[in-house]
Parts: sequence; structure tokens; C-alpha cells
Amino acid sequence: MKIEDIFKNNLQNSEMPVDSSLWNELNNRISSKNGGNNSANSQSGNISTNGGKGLFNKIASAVKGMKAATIVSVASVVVASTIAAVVILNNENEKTNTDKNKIITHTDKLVLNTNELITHTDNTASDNNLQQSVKNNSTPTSNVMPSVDFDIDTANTNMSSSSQNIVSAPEMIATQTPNSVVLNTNTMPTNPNVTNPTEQHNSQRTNSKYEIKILIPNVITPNGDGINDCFAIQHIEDYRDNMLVIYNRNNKVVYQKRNYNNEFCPQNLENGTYFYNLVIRNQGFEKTFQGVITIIE
Amino acid sequence: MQDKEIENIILLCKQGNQDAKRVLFEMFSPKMLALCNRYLNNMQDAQDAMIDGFIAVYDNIDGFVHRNLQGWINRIMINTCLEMMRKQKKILLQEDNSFADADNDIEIDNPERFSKNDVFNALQTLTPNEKTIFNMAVVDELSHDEISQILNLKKTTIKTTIYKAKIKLRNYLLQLEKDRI
Repeated sequence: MKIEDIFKNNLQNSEMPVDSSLWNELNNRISSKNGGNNSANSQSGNISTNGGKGLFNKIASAVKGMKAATIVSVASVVVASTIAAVVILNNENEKTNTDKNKIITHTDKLVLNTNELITHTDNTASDNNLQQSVKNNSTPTSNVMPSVDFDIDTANTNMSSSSQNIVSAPEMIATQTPNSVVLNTNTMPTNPNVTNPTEQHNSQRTNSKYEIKILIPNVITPNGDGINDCFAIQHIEDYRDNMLVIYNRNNKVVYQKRNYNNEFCPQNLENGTYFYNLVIRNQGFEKTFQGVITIIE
Repeated sequence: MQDKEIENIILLCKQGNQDAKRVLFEMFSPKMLALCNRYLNNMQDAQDAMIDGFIAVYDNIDGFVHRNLQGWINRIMINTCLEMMRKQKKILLQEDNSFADADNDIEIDNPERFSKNDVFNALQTLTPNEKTIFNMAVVDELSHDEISQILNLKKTTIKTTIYKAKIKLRNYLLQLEKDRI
């Protein structure tokens, strides 16, 4: 049986019990609406005959009123996580002008706070419904989370440059998954690849550590004027464990390099389109980038 | 319910009869709640979306000319859900130019062994984009043309997304069975 048929049969006409309070809510909305804008109703009727596209505008205004009610109910869920995030951000700000000892205590705090955050999500994971409501209701949390990750990252790189004692701090953050947090902070430098593949996959979406931040150009002009002469991948120096292969249009390899560090400045290549294949391995996480480069003299 | 009765109800709704509106609500709300829940996978949002959707239905019923009342209401509900997802920034629609052999069918034998719940849970493992497109194309049977118009995406993107979603779903269901043994 085709998989789409399975889903169609099971879900197409499925039903769910509807609470009677919903009708009362709807009824209130209708009656409050009819008080104000009867003329708008007749207009929207015409819109729908034209294919229902104008519906969005209509619905948008209706949703606005509804939104206020939902936000109140959601607020309590959001507050807990935003507070945790704010604490971290504050720590991050304070840290700028402090001495080494202070920085170290702050890292402890930071790690502690991220632990809290993670356990917070971990608890909710145990309760499916709650998890869903947290995930879906509270867009603020999902907005806050990545930025927090980012701040921690930058904070750690700052610190590692200022004090040698905590060089391994980024690794601690990198390997923080709900189960391995404590373990990794104790046995820090041993092996950052402790996390198993499924966890990595999950954290790939939430943890910015697994997002490889490079900028690959799509045009180079190797004419010796000093501008765009080389295939310069921005921030490639952060990912030394990489391999670059460049093909021409006939799939023939024209350049190949391990640990590529922006050395490719072709002098005797024809103008035209070339393809690159860049594999980056970062703390056990591997990603392949493919794309097109145009060479114009 | 017979076509005649439905026509009567629609007529009464057009005149603004409150009881007729209630009948319409009770006729369709269980299905619509399930539909909204399928898109939003959250009961609170689904209820809100359904109420917004019904308000849109009552507002626009004057212009209702189609034969298929259920299909028309479905479309309104889908639009409401999409609007809600956009507001919550849950879907981030992007073109997907990767190549997939999207014409292959993916099959599973003996589908009876999976309950409705299994199937619903499988759907929740997809990413929001995949889920939305899969829902629209497969479960609600909108044509690819319509979807590409609504979501403003290329048809190839839709095809690839559906194909990827199908593979994910099959893998999930097979894994589910392995775990049970």
C-alpha cells in the first residue's frame, strides 16, 4: 500500500471531541462583531467568490483580537525560560571588564545556567503535550534560544583568549547535551565526540555549534588586481579539518586540497563555470558544501 | 445529512440565523479541530484557529457558490492555520532545489498494523515545512498547483519535499515496528 494512502485513510476524516465552551466563545465573537461592521461582511462575501485570496486579510484582523487572549495563557510558560535567558545575557554583559578570577566564576555560572536551560527543556520532553505547548506556543523562547547560544560562544572565545585556564570552555558548551553535561565538564579535554549520533542530530538544529559559519564566494576574478583573486572562503580558518575539490564542467578535477586555507588563486584556468565540493569536519560533525563558482578574468 | 438539508442550513446561515450557524458548527467542528490539530499540533492553537476559521466561514458564506461545502470549509481552515503559523513564525518556507527521484512510490505492506495514533505521531516527526506541505498535498488532497500558489513555492520544491517527507515517514513507521518487537 502506498504510504500516502495510509496517511489519507487514517487522517483525512478523523474527528476530535469538541468542547461545548468553544461554541460559546465563537458565539460571543460573532455577536460582538455584528455590532460593529455589517458592511464589512457583505464586502468579504464578494472577495470569497473571487477565489478566497482576500481571505487572508480578513482573517488577519480576526486573528489579532484572538492573539491577545492566547498570549496571556502562554505568558506563564514563556516567563520561566526567558528569565533563565536574561540571567545569562546579564552575566555576559558584566563580564567585559573583570579580572581572570571573576571570569572563571562567570564561566561556572554560565555553564550552570545553560544546564538549567537544558534541564528545563529536558523536563518538558518527558511530557509530550507540555513539550508541544512549550514549543509551539512560545515563539519567544525559540527566538531567544539561538541568540543565547551565540552569546555563550562568543563569550567563551573571548575568555579563552584572555585566560589560558579555560581554553577548553567552548568544548564544554559544544558537547552539552542533556545527558552528558556533567560528565563532559569533568573530563573536558578528553573527547568532544562523546555524544551519540542521534543526539548530535537533534542538537544540530538547536545548537549553533553544529552550524558551520562560513561564507563561500560564487565569483572569483583571478586577474591579479588583488580583488577577489583567490577562492577565499571566509572563516575557513576556524575549520582546518576540511577538503576542497574543484571540478570543471566536464567533471574533471582541476584542484584538490586537504586543509584548504584560501590558497586557490588560479592563473591558467579558462573563464567559465566550475563546481566545488567542500567537506568540513568540525568536532566529529561533518558537513558537505557544494556549489558553483564562476571564474571571470 | 442530505444535500437538501445542507442547502437549507446554508440559506439560513446566509440570512444570519444563529441556530443554523450552530448546526453548521456542530456538523463540522470535530473534523475541523482534527484538521487544525494536524497542522498546528497543539490543542490550544488548533482551537483558536478553528474559531477564527468559523468566523471566516460565517463572514464569507454569502459568497459561497461551490457544491462542496466540506472542501470549502477545509480550505478556509487551512488558510487560517497557515496564517497562524506565519504569525508564530513556525514555518519558514524555502525553495529546495535538491534533486530527488520524486516519482517513485514508497510502499508499506499491511498498513493495518499501525494505529491512527502511530500515524499521527509519525506526522509530528516531520519538520514544519514538510508537515505543512505533506498535509496539504496528501491528506487534504490539494493539487500541487494550488499549493504552489498558496505557499508561493515552485512545484519542484513541493514535489521534493513530499518525497523526502514520505521517506522519513516510512523510516519512522518501520523503526516503530522494530522497537515493538
